[in-house]
Amino acid sequence: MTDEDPLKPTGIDAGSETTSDRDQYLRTEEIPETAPAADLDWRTRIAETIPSSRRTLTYLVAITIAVLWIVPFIGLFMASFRPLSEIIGGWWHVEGMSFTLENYYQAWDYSTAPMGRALRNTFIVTIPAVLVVMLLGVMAAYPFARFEFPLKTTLFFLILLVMAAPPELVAMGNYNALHEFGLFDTYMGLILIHIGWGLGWVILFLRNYLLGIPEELEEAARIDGASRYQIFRTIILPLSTPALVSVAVIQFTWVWNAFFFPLVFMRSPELYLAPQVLPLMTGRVQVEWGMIAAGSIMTMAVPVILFLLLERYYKRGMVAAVAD
Amino acid sequence: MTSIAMGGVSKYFDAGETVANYRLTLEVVDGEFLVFLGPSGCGKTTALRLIAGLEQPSEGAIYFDNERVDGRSPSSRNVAMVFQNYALYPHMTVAENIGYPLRVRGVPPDERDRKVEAVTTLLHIEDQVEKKPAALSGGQRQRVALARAIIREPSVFLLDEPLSNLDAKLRQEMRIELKRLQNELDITTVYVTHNQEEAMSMADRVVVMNQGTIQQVAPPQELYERPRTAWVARFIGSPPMNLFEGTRQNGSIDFGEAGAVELDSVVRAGETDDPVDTTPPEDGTTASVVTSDVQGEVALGVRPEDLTITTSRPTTGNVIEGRVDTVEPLGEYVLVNVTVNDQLVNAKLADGTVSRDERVYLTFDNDDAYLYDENGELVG
Amino acid sequence: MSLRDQLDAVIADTDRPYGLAVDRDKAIAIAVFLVPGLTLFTIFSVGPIAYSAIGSFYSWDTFTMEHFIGLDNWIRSFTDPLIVNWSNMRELQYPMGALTHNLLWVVLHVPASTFLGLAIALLFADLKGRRILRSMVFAGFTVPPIVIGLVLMFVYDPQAGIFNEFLRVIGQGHLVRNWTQSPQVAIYALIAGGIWVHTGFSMLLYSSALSAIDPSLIESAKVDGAGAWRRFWDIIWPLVKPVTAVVVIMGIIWVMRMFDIVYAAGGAAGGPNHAYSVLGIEVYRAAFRPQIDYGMAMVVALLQLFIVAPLALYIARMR
Repeated sequence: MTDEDPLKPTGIDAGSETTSDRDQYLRTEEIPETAPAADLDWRTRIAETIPSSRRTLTYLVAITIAVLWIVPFIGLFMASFRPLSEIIGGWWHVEGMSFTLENYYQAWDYSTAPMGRALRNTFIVTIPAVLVVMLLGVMAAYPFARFEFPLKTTLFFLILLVMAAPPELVAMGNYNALHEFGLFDTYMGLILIHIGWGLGWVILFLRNYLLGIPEELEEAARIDGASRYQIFRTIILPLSTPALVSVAVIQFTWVWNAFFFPLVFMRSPELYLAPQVLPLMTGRVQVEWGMIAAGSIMTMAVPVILFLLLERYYKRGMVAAVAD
Repeated sequence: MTSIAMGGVSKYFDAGETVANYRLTLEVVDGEFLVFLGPSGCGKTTALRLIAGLEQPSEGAIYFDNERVDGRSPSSRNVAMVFQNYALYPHMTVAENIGYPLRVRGVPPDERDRKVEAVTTLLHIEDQVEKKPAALSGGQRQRVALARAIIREPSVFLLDEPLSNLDAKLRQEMRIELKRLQNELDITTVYVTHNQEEAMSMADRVVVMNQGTIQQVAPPQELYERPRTAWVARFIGSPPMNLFEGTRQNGSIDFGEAGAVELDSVVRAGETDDPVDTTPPEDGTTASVVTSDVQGEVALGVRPEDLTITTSRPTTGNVIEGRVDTVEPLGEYVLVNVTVNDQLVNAKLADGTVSRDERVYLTFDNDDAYLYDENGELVG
Repeated sequence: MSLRDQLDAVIADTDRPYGLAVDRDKAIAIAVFLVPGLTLFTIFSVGPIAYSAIGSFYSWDTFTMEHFIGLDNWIRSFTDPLIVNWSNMRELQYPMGALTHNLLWVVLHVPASTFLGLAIALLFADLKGRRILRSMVFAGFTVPPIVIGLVLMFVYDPQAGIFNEFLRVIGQGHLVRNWTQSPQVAIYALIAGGIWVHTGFSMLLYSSALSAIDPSLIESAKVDGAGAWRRFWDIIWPLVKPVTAVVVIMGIIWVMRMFDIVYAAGGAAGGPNHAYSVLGIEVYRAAFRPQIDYGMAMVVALLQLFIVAPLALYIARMR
């Protein structure tokens, strides 16, 4: 028994005579809410908040890389607000910079196919293509996740095959088919093609998600007296909302960004979609960088803003679509 | 007001590769609390799902009262079920969960609200109705699941291990409450569990299942006092019954080095009770047949609480010799593990004065002994 | 008891089949759910692929199928210098043919974007604000590829392009040129752009694999005295290795489908004198630009599928 070091173990018997139970056990009220102030002097506090020099370096490298990665977009953005002469001289020269919306007006009213109309066309095609794919996709995914039916494996294989196929492979058949149906060079034709093309991955993606919904919930609903359709509407649909949002964002981006399908199936300039118009702007003699930049910014703004708003769903969906 | 009858019901999975249930024949009387008890994988849950209509029998028939229901969907059977994980709809509030069975049946909202209020009051969850299931404790979820099951006054109430996700204290409380609720509502109830304490405390009758078949159907007390097979004997009780393996020889059971027990005394003791209603195919139940000079492997069953231990050899009664292996003082009682012919048996004692490796003598009354033949059937 | 009697009667003939109303309801429900989606899927995806597969063995009068000609389209396509240009390959001169260009993309782009993706994912893994950093790197993947192609032209422009400005700043002014229009180097410039865009995607997959690693594994390795290098090779790499297969295969699929970026930079010809044309461009030109050659378009598109289909099936098998 020494008094110098209170933490020195006293041995199991030592307490029996010299210390009472009151010393050995603490009452709950004695436990402080936070660490005693004396233990945290200002020196250790500061050391904890300021990262080590190695850590600082990591941050510097990381931020530099991330900024470098978007430099081309920064250039595009700056070019869209500056007159052509300043762009040719280099958008990175910022002294004496002038600001103009002229490029946007020019792009909006671009003579061959005004961006205003092209953007409207893109919305007309994209929104139904996304909504219908979501509905039909989740409907078809449900039996894939829950039931056995004939040809299931074959259909599965076909879906995988279509997911691997390049869009060029379906272009010839669809070109002839749309002519056959009288839907060539119409909104409806392009919408249907996007739906048929997107359904494959959407079915597979939603099926994987639905597999994660406990079957017990559906059994409970069946016992509660719900029909298969009621179960789908009141249990499956609400529970797959996060996956449906992922589908919506990704499919929207895909359809909006698509260039090949409109290029092949939209031939009248009045029906041109925004991505289709952009390469037309490159012109013959002097590239109109300002107008191209403005048009590009307008076109990419929609999917990029959507991505930033629903970033979580987009990323999660992307990862799940390929990794699950 | 529903009774249930199952006749020769079998259920096979994986195109006949797996036998989940084999020829179950069973009646559940109107208003009865019946418990399916068995180890995991014994087919008790499948049996329940067959009654619910979540599975369809591969053969056999199921009747609710006089109506044949196999082949019908669960919704047309008017059954309610509580699942092991409660199966609460995570996207609905408690009130929406409880009202769901009425909603899909097209009950008008105001009537629905009235009934939801009534059952939530009955189950003391009226303060939780606006919450989502994720915000509830295990016990509250359990109550919501119960409320959802009883709200539409089902004719049959099915529960699949409903208490297994609760902690021990809560489980005990819910056990009492469930039993009370069932008494009040007087609904035919089928309850599945692997916990024998739950089964014994709540059941009017217990169905003990193993490997897809029924081992014994009996009220709890009878199950304890008269296990029909060695398997049931080993399954019921905590710790379960000891089965001393021996050979039948000239009117006594020989345990080798551990001694022998007179066969007459054990079997006669059995006869003082009601005659065993299951008739073993060959051996018969009468003492005359048993005591004849047939030889064979038998097992003598004695419950740990019926064994007493002495350190000196008693002169009368049934004596089996063994050596103390370990002594576990459990507070309430002392559990002594004794090695008898390389077999470990337990004895529950009020106090344990024996120590490890001590030679001891196990004694028991004739009334407390059960004899099982080589097929594991109760003989006496 | 009537129940008892019924039971006995039932036990007498247990295998009497009983009408399963549930099964019929279920079959109808499955059909209702499946049919609308699968119809559109069949008409606009499966059908056209089958059409191309069959059509590749027929002769075509522009858009009309004529008669069976066996492997003629296939042989013609594989010997076309636009697809594989053997003589230029021997001299290492572009154009080397669309298939060669595509394979060059695979060889250069896929390892680079995979490696960079992993490196950046590791770098960002435990930083504060990693979500913003990741979004910055990933953002390019959400931009329309056609815009990416135009941005590359802008970056590589001799006067307005920041890449040439960078060369001037580091004293390599003699290298300044219009990179996307210089036949012998343009393909590398475009591949660099592809890596720039696609790295974000690889990084995203690696990031999610890294965040799935149980931190206690890393901690226990630290306790065991493993340095950062050892920790990577002994713990992190084995756990993210399965993702690498996915990243690589998705990279190959992306590259084999390359169209928009090349079209933006080089038009339907795939650059000056087809210098960096790819298979997708050749399909488009064969099918929809004069001289229309549907048979060849189908063969080349099928070729694209054959290269990636086994890989896609491999991913599916992995799950």
